Amino acid sequence: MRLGRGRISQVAALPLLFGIPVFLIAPLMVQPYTLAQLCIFAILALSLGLVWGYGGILCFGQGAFFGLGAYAYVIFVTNMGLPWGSLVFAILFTMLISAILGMLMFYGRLSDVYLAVVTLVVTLILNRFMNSTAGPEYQIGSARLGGFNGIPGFQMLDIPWSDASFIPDSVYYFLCFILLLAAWIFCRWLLSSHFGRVMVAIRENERRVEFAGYDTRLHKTITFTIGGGLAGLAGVLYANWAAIVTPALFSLTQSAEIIIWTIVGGLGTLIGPIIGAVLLVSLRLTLGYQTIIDNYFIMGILLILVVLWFPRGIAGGFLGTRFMQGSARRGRWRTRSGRLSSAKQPSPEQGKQDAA
Amino acid sequence: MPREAVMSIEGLTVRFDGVAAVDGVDFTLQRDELHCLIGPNGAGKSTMFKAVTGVVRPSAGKIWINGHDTTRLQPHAVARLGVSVKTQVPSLLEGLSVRENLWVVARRSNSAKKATQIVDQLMERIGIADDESRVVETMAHGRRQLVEFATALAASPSILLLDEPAAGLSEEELVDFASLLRQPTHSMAVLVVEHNMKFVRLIAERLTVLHKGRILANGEPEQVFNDERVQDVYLGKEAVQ
Repeated sequence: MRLGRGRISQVAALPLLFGIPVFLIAPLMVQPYTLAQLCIFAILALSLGLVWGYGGILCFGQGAFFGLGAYAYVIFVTNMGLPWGSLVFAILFTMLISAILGMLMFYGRLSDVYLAVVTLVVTLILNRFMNSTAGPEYQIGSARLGGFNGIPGFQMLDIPWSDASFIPDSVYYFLCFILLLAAWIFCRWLLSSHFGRVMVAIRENERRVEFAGYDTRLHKTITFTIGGGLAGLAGVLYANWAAIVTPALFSLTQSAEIIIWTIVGGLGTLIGPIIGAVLLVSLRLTLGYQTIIDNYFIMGILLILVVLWFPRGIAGGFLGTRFMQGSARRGRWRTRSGRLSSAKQPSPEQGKQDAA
Repeated sequence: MPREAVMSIEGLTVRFDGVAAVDGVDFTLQRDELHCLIGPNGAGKSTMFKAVTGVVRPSAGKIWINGHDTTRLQPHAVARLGVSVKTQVPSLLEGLSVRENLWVVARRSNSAKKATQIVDQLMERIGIADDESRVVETMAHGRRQLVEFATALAASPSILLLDEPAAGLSEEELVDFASLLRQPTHSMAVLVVEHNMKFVRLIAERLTVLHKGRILANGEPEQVFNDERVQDVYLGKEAVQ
């Protein structure tokens, strides 16, 4: 399970190969401000891609952890100062909450649709609660929650050891991009580890994995917590990007959008959700300038078309040839397993699979 | 000379909505023996199997495995005491390759290198090495049965529980599988729940008959086959001749 030197280059090669050219070319075409937003949503989509696509846990509440991360950052930074410390605390806080929720669900043996419903309900509860916190009594330390209006005007992430009180857009894009690449590499590393393989095995057949002596409840809780942490990171970055946090972060629309990005991009891949988020958010931003048809109506139609024509999503339908083997449940574990299934005769297909 | 018991069950009772599927069963499985558990449909074989593996909680009674009380343990905790299971319908990691199916199991208690060694040896021994990269769900039923058998062995168990391993196997596969089971292995007790009498005759060293949730007979296969009560309720006289 330890990551050897060879393995680091193995898991990092593709993200860097793909990421560096994109990083250099993208600012020539799109504003850094928009690019930062795309990176943030890509991290959010990646978190669901990991939890759902590999862990087999359909979480309707990824938006909840996104919102919690954002709110936690603002509350921490308002009370303590220390923007970077608040970033870390906010992520840890989100992980704690997702661990507690995960334990309740997985040790309670909830699965499939019940799990989706519980996570959805938690999101809606948070949404309702945050909307109702307008009164002065809803104050955590010196941070007023502000109800429907949210919390504006908090201390932003800064550049350490400099006088700047915030990070300029071009640098913030750089930061978000690096964190997206880091998150992607982390997920690839995780999936190549013993833990990651068990995670995929649980998705395939939980009972069989239990019979092998693994505590699947613990594994699922950890998977869920990692996913929550990534969504929390996206939330912190979003708060700093938008300079305001509002209950809309917990909205049903937000949670549904993450699921749509993941499906359209390609469930069971890591690059798929990233591509899905970038394309669909770009589309939403472009459509935002017209008022003839509702954006979400177009999104819905797009989702239906993709599900009908490319059931394996963009990454599965265009990029991958064999790596999902005709089912959205397929992961790229097979492909990533190098030593596992292709040690003796690495085939060209496996190379391609790995590339996804 | 009696061998040491690796699994002993005392007064095991499992009730579903007040109906006892298993009713006060006492049972022992001894080290290195190949023990068959037979009985007509609804005799309680599968329920007993589930209780032993931790899938179903017993209503009463005790189960001891390798000296530990496992009555209330979760399936993964039972597995950690050296119990491996092959279920009635092959239960595999459907979307993964044969090698990956075995590796996940072998890796739990071994280093990555050792696990790879175990998997290589097992695939060779069971005769599935040619299929190592095949995705399990694309394989024929008989091959899948073998993969699941290999998966159960990959944990290097001290107790192997097989639920109807002969189901759906052709005559030829059946004989092959029986000889595979009879291969001398490292000290391992095997309990086979089975319907197929031909298969039972090929493998059983000891036989227990379950009927209506209770033990009807128990002993050497010939002795049990000749027991009149067994012939009446289950085998039918023709099957024995």
